[in-house]
Amino acid sequence: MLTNILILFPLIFALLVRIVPRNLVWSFSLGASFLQIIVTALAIFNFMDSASHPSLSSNLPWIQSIGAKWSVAIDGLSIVLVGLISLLLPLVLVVRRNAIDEVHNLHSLIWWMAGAMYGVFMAQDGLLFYTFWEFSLIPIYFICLKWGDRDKIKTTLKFFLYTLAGSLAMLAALIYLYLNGSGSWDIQDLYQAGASLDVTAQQWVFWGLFLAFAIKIPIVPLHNWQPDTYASAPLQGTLLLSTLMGKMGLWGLLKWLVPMTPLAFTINQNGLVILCVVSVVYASLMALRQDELKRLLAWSSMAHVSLMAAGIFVWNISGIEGAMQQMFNHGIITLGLFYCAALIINKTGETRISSLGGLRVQLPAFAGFFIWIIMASIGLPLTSGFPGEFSLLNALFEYQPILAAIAGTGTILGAVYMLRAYHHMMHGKNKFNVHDIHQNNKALLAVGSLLILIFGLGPSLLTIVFEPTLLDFFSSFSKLQ
Amino acid sequence: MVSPVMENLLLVILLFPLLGAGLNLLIGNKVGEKGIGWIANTATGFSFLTALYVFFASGGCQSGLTFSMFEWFHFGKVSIPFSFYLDGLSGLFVLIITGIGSLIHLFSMGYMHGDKEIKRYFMYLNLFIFFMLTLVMASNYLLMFVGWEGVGLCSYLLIGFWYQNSTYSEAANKAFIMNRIGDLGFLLGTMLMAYHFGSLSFGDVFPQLSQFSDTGVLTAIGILFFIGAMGKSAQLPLFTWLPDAMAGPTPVSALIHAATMVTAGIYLLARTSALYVLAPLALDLVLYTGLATALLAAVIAVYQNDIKKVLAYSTVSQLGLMFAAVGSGGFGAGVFHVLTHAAFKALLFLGAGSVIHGLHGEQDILKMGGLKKSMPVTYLTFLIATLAISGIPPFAGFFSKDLILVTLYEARGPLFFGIALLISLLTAFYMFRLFFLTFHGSPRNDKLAHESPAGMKTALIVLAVLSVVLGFLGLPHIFAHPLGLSNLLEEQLKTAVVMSAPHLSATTEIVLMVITLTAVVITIALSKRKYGSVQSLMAEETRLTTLEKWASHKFYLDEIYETVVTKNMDRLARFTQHWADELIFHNISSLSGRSVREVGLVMRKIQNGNVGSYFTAMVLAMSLILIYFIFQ
Repeated sequence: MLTNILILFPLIFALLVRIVPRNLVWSFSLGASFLQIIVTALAIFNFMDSASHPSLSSNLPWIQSIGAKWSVAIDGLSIVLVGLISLLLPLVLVVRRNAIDEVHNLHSLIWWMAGAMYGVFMAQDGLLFYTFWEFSLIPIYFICLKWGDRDKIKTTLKFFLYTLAGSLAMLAALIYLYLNGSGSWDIQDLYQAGASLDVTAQQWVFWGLFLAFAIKIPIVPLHNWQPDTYASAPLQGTLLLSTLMGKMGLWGLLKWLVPMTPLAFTINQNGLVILCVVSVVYASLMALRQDELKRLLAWSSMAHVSLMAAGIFVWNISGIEGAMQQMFNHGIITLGLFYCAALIINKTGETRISSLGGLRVQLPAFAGFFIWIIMASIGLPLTSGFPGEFSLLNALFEYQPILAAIAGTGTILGAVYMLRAYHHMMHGKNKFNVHDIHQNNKALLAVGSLLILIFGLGPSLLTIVFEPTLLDFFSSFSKLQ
Repeated sequence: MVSPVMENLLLVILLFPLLGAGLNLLIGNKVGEKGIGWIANTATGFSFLTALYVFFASGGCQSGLTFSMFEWFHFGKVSIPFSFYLDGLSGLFVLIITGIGSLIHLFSMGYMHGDKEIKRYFMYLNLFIFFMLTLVMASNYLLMFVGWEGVGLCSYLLIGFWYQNSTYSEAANKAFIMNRIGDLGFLLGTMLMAYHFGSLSFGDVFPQLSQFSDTGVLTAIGILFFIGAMGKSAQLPLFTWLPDAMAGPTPVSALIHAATMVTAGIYLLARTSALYVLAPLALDLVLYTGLATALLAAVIAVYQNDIKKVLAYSTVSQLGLMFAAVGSGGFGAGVFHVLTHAAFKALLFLGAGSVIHGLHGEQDILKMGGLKKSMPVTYLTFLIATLAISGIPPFAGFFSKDLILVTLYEARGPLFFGIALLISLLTAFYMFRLFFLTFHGSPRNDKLAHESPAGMKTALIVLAVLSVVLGFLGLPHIFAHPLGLSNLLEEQLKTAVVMSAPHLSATTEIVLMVITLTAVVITIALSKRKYGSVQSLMAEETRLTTLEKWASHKFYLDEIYETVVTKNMDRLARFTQHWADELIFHNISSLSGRSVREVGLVMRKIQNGNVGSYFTAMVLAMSLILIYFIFQ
């Protein structure tokens, strides 16, 4: 029941919000997002109270002729991402209160997207998963196209084509699995089907699925859409893409790729881990070269998600735990970073780091929040950015120490480009005359900073939720293998 | 038996400074400059008093006090708790940190008087104390890393305290980034340790060492930890951030970049002594790096004219000596020098601060001179500190430096002793050069010098007293035995740190001591002849030989790093951007886009709406199919 509410309520509200009076859209939306948080909290309590699981899955007939079902469930792993959506949704909704005409449309699309993403993380049925996956692409496409900056048509098209190409490959792979299975789309049956394939067939399926997920994350060399899109998308679009949508790809690796084709994965593992480590360094080096603030953050974000992908491919407990933690925390930190960037760009009208300077004089409180979020991004201990990153590097270390050292340079380069940018924007002689940020901005930044501190001091708050499921998941995978 | 109440006090020691920072954050704007200062001072002071009580009530923490809270996080099967530990080693460090810290807080009230951002200053300073205490009180390596990076953050914030000056802000970045390089080594070390020992807690790892036979692993851990120490304690090749770090307010240089934070590397190695004694190769590296750094920095210091820069290089050099001691197995000697150095180097920095304060910001010693009369207290205390660092008895530096020299002689023979002696002589030379140029001769600028206010003077006097008495804690056996005294420091450290028993004969020790002392006194005399009564701006300082020019430019190390590391990194990044990203990936992606369009253009021609061409195509296709079936 709760699972269905979590998915359907946002989708229904996406329609409802269109008939709400214009000046009330914002408050209605925010109210609804709090309702969603309450439902999520209920789901979490329900889940932690392990006796009463039934309410956390729903299995209804959907397209009976081909055996597809409306099968959704929350387990310890998906609840982390479900929680992340619910937590970030209100923040994404409020980041820009005015300055947007057609606020109906925007909020409707955001809710639509949220509903689809809940579906992606909860789906237990291959066709349903694919449907939600595609369903989430439509709203973000329109958000970027309608409210984006320069070059929006070109970049949005590129983004769309990239993800569409990936999706088609995924669809082909899923259909192939279905045809070789027992006539069901259920994820467990698909696992069985995948495991029973010979190596060549598994390789085809593997690379088909990989293409879709790797584009979404993104990993080198499939990343070309990302910096352009992050830079030209409107703030809300960038936030949805960077904090949540990239996680769909990582989720895919974890749940729909590796266990699906265990043989192919074992064969490709080495290359994949190396590819992801290369991707970390590559993105970090690219970030060094950026002068445009949003692009810098885009590359930095890519360096982080690549490390998570590496952790998943290492496929040990430390790696997946680290990846799960980082997926959650990276969401919050990235939201904070892009929000700070948007504030700076709004205040000064400058998007380039080199033309900024000395902002700290007039924005002392903002400067404090900003450096704290930056420290979280570069993984300072006691911020939420540290435990996950450490676990990921440790996983790599257990896999191959050299790779950990190479990926570790990402933490050094991260400090270089982040502090360099901060220095150029905030320090030195004051070049701009800006007003201090609004109380609302401060409140939002305070919430983000607090979350960073809480999950930095008590990462167990998170791990305790997903750990038992992870161990189960892991042991059942070893059986498949 | 240590009572649980006492163990709870560990948290009290730790939380006072944090509380001070928090309180100032909340009400700092309302209580005014004085209030802010008092909040910060009280916090550190109480922390110190609590530490004193715990230290003495538990008999020097010999039996080890533990205070554990909840688990911080775990990875794989390794659990990292918030757990704090006080033993002979960390007990001593806690006293240094809170004690010297309190004095520097007191000094800061005068020094920072009138600064608009004094609230921020004291918050950072309190926060620094908190993280530094976390570093030394942690009971496992990752919690130590929390403090390790936390002090790095505070150092970053304080070096760039006057952030409107771009150079300062860049110096802050440099410090943070160079430390980060070392920190990666530290982190990899913890991972290797966790992999082989299944834990990062001291109490779990050290007992396993005796059964652990893989020396390669131990050596690797030792080297990785030492890379961390190189960054934090400014050793070759990661030392160039420390001289730049002098951009921060002078009390910060005294506290962070002389007395406490930069000695964290020594603490790490001393804490890990049980491992290092099993990894002789790692210790060799420590020794060579330490000696090379000490020598290089001492040479550079001779040619610096900025009062704080001289002291900064001197710190690097002294840290190098400590590492040399540690590298030859003298962990106790290294820690002893940390203790005495904390007092006299803090005093030197505060004295320099007092001078800079008195001269309204002048830092060039060539433009000073004759301050003896106008700043008597500063003069006298500075003299004591200079004597201490030069190794003149009975000042503190004499004892600790002597122990280092003896240790080197004992473990590595006369050559290494000779190098260390040379470093000591250079130290005496440049320190007295600094001293004479600053306080003697005639004034070489027109600024009216004034003595510092009472609070600052108090701090100077207390530190001066410490610079005398602290040395007696580590009284050499040749003196202690006849007097019926014991070496208190050895007693203090023996349970926590691996100590080597001295086996040098008393005669050898006395001979070494006499040689050293004579050489130092001669060096000081030389320095006095050259710099003792300088009347006007010296021309010879500007006429340097090539080698000297190199030294005054710190052998162009920054420029070398710039060319070798920074430039190449940028080149690599530019290569990635231009060749990989723009030329290959961008073009592939637009090429595939374009080719789809091209194909579309061709295909479009087919659907031209012309019935005739459709018909032609149909006939053509049917005949092809026919031909296929006929010839099948």
